[in-house]
Amino acid sequence: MIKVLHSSDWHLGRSLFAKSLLEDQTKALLELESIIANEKPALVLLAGDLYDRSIPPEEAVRLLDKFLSKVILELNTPVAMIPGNHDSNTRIGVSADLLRAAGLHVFSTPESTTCPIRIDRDETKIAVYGIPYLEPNEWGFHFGRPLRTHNDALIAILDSLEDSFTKDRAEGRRIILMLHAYVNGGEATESERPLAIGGSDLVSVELLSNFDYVALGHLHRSQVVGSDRIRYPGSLFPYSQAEASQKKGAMLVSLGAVPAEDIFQFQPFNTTRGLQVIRGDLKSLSKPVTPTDDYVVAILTDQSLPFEAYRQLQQIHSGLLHVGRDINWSRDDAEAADRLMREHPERKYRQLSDRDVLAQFISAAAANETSDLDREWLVLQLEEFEKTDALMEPR
Amino acid sequence: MKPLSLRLKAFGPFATETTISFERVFDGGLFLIHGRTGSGKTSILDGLCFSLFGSPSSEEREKDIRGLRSDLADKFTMTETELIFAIAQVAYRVHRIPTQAIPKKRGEGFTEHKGSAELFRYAGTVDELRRRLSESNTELTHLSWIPVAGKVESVNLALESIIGMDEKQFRQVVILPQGKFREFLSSSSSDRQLILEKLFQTDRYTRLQKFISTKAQLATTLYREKSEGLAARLNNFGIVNFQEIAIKKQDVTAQFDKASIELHAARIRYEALGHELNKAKQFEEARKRFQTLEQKSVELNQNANHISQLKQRVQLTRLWAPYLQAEILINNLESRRANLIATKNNNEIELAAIAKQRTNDQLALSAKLTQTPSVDDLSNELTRLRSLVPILRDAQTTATRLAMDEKKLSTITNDVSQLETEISQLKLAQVKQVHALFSCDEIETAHQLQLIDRENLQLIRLEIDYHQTEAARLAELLTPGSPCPVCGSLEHPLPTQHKNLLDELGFPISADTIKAAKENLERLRQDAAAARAGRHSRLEPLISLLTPESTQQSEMPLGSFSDEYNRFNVAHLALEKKKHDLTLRHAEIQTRGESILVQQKELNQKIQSVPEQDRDVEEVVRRGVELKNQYDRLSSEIKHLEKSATELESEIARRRGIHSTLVDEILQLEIDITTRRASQISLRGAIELEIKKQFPKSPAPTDSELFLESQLKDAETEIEQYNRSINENSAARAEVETLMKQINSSRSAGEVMIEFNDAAITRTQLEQSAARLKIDAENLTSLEAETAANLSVLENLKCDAERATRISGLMTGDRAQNKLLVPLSRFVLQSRFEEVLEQANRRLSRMSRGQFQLRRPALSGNLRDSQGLEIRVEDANAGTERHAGSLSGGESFMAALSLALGLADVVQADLGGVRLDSVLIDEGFGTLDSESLDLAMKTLIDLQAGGRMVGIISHVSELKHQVSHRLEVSKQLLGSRVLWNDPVLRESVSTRDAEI
Repeated sequence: MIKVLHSSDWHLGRSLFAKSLLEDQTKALLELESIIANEKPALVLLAGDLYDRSIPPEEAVRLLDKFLSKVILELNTPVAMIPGNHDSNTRIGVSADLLRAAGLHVFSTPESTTCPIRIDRDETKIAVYGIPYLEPNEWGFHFGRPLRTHNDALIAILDSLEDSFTKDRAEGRRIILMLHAYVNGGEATESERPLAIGGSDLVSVELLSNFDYVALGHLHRSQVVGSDRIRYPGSLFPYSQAEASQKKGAMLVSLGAVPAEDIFQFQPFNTTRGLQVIRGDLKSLSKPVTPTDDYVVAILTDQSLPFEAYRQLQQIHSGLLHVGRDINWSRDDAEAADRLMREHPERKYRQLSDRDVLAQFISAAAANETSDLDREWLVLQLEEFEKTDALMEPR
Repeated sequence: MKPLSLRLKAFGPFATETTISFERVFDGGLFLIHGRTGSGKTSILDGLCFSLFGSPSSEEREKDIRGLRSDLADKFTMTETELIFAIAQVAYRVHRIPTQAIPKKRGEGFTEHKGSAELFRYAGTVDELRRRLSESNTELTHLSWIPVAGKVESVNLALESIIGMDEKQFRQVVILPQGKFREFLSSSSSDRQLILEKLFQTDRYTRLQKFISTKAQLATTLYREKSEGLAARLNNFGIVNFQEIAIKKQDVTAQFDKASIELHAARIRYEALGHELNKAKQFEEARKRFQTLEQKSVELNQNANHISQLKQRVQLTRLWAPYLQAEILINNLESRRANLIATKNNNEIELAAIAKQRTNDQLALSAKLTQTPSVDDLSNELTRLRSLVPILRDAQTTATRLAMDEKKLSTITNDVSQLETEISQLKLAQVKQVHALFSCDEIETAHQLQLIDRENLQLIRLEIDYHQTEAARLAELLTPGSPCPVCGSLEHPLPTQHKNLLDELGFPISADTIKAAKENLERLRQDAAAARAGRHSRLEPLISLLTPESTQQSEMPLGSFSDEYNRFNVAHLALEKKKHDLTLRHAEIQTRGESILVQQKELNQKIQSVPEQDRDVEEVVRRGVELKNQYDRLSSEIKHLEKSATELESEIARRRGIHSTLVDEILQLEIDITTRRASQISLRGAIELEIKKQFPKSPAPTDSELFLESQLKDAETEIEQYNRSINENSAARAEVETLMKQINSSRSAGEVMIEFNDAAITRTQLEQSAARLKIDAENLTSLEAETAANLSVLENLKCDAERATRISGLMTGDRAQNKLLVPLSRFVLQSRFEEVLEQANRRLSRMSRGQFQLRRPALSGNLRDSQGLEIRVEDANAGTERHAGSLSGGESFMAALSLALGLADVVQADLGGVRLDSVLIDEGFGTLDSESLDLAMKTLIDLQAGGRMVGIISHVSELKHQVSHRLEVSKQLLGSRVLWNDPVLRESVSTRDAEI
């Protein structure tokens, strides 16, 4: 039996409604450390997006450094990690060769995919392959042929590793694949950054069906995609309103000599703060509640804008981060309108004739009754105007 | 407007030609123009804006269009831009060359190149053009372009109408330039109104509004004019209403009749008075004229005395005239004489000068001719020196050759002495060699004898051994106790050593061996004898060479005899050769010595023929040249003097001729003058006699009393005129007196005039009042008919005017008619603006997660001033409305971006006149924190998903990770470069993290 601990999407250095989450992230990492100390996994897998930005703030770098030192040096547990779409390959992969001897395995270059970590213990033997996140065209450059989508890139990568997989399987090894991707069937929240713009960022789940475990990163909701063996552990902390009420934690995977012995356990964090979204008018939200240290986002449904809502609500909800108003627009609305325009360019979103405009104006502005004669006169004038004005108009 | 391709040349940082294709993002796509600060990102937008509007992307950059020219470009390369863009399914190409200064091809300074522009429309569809452009070999100008405009002004006009925006609006809605697109958010309400009016073309409603208000004014004016016109007409007759017209008409007719009678009487009286007045006026006029003539006559008489004096002076002048003329003539002759005398004197002076010069020249010439050495001497000496030169040159050559020969001879003499030394050395060596040969012979003979002795000894040993071996063999057969086969003794001791001996030899010695050895020895002896004989036969002839003094042996080791003999032969041959050479040299010395003697003799002869002082040829030549120069100079001077003497002689002769002519002429003149003087004196006497006869009383006149020629004519005219005036005056007086007798008027004109004027006034008044009364009567008749008809029309007009005014009031926001107090145009504008805000809020709300909303403030009381286009920002956190200016950098970026996009949404979707299907955002992302950046990016991603082309210009490297279509602008030494990040280019990977 070999245990590995799988976590991802830490986004160290991220803020939520301009509030720095460093303190909360520190707390979550401490919990991870205690899980490692208790469970003593053979390897810790970090599946990308360790930092929030490609150039992370110093505090975030310090935090990751502290965690790695603690786990590798004090808890004697080796760590394997890949960069995600928020990370810079070069920065994450700095000194990778030097660090390998110390127990930190960073898969940051296309070449590094061909050097899996192999661990033999008792009856069980595993091989861990890490695939760094790179843009399809970067993989294309590596393989010397154009690759347009992430799916194409993954097909090419797995193809190139096929011999190695076969050899490992022949030696009786169980294979773990670590990947930062948006796997088709996965459910996104609001805080993931799209992997591709104007194209598909999805990779097919079928490509991943032959592995003993696929340690995914990217989606922030903890979830299983397609099969038990393809999993996102979710983000370290709720990073958007959509993740409120989601439980955050890490995956503990125990692989036996044969698949039937495998165990997958979600290890939730118990001490970190949660995120609540409360919705309603100011009056109802101002009612006293049981004190909690969760972060709170309040969505007001009042028709008019309540005065100093933030100040009022903060007295009740100490973790209040943000007050927003319930606006019905969604991404789909705007997109639908745009799409309609694109597909039917001849169709106007809303075209009013001059008569319609005048009718609107009269009904909105007229102080006195307008008679039919008035309207007839106006129509006559309008026709005359249209005749003469057409000559003037440059349109 | 969507760009398809942009070509820039010598533009901004792009020194060379740079073409950017937007093909890959044309169907909707988010792309990033990325590069370091100063690499030229914004210049791409400048290029776009310049192509469309002839000005760069923001007003700051606009200051000097000439600044667009690349500093790095080759100075002769013209700056130009070319943009291909599409509006719906029509593609256009615009090509511009800005006004620029290009250095003159020749010389200093610059030529101002006037800017130009051309605009084309593509004949096919946009899709077809895109296909053609993507083919690699397409030549842009070969495609079928239809010219639209070809001058800067017309291109600008055409583009503005095609794009539907002017450049300012374009910059607020499509290109959102660095730090500028917040302007729409923060600009004043009236600025915003201008933009919205243009974009939504609400000027149409303004025009409609104006049209209707003009109509209302027209209707009102029409009614008022009509109604006032009618009232005024009635009023003219002192009538207020229609019924009074008939009564008024009767009254007017009666008045008219009365006035007609009075008028008749007045007219008769007026005519009579007029006649009388005429007569009185004529009489007065005649009298006045007579008085004037009288006055004139008196004046003329006063002048009579002056005129008679004038006449006298004229007469005198005429008498004196011939005398004065003679005087003038004589004066002229005298002055001529004086001139001639002066000329003659001058001539004499010059003549004297020339004669003096001639004397000087003659003196100089004779001096030259007598000068020593004379020219002939010089010439003789020169000839002599010339003849010497070839002789001397020849002698020189001979001497040189002689010197060479002597040198050669001494070389040969040297050779001879060297050869003699060598020969004696060689002879010495030869003797040594012969001695050596004899020694060799002795040595070799001795050696051979030694060899023969050794062989002989060997043979003896072999024989002994043989015998011993034989004995041993026999001894083997010896057995103890039996007798010895040799000696037969029974006591014979056992030989023990024979075995060892055999072992030493290794072979058994037989009798044959001995025999062979003997034969060998014999052969050796014969060979030695033969060799010695051979040597001696060679040595025999050499014995004579041996000398007792040189018997000492050479210290050199000796070789074999034959080697030494060979050496001797070689040395001998060499010696013989040297001897031969020596003989040849001796002969040569003989020959050369004789030749030298001959030449020396020859030379001496040549030199003897030349005088001693002239033997140096260089000196002779130098002297010759000097003499020649001297000779030339002297002869040219003489020639010059001779020529000058001749010229002077002829000049003297000429001058003497002139002199005698002048003397003759002067004499002639003096005779003439004397004659004329005499005749003048007699003329004077005659004149004085005549004067006495004509003017006995008066003394002789002085010159001052005489007239000059010009005065004379004036005086005569004056006299003539005076006489004419006297005659005219008396004639006129007679005429007037006759006229006055004829008229004879009793009353003065003044009296008659007063009466006449009265009569005229009376008549006119009566005429006017009659006419007026007549018109009144007629008017009243037509008024009666007209008024009846107009009353109903007037009623309709009133109704129309009221309606038009009411509706126009509504349109223009009149308080009485319009409860909003908002005119139509502003109402439309406001509703469009509401929509813009609504669209903007969709995006802003997502970006701010519900925190911010844009609002138009509720209408306040002071509506005339407010355009109703202010923007307030609702902040859900604060629960208040804020002014847009109070937002933070990031917040205002989001708000401004949302607003710009919302504006584009509504403009495109609503009125359809304008297509805003691309947005280019220049910077601003740097103000966002990472959370907001993600949200803003999502908004832009939504936007491009709707088919828009969305371009972002930024150096923020986080964006680089998020946007896969990147236009990388890099600054290079000789101008910037633009490249799409192509998947197979290494750059796209390696530069991924190159920048912070």
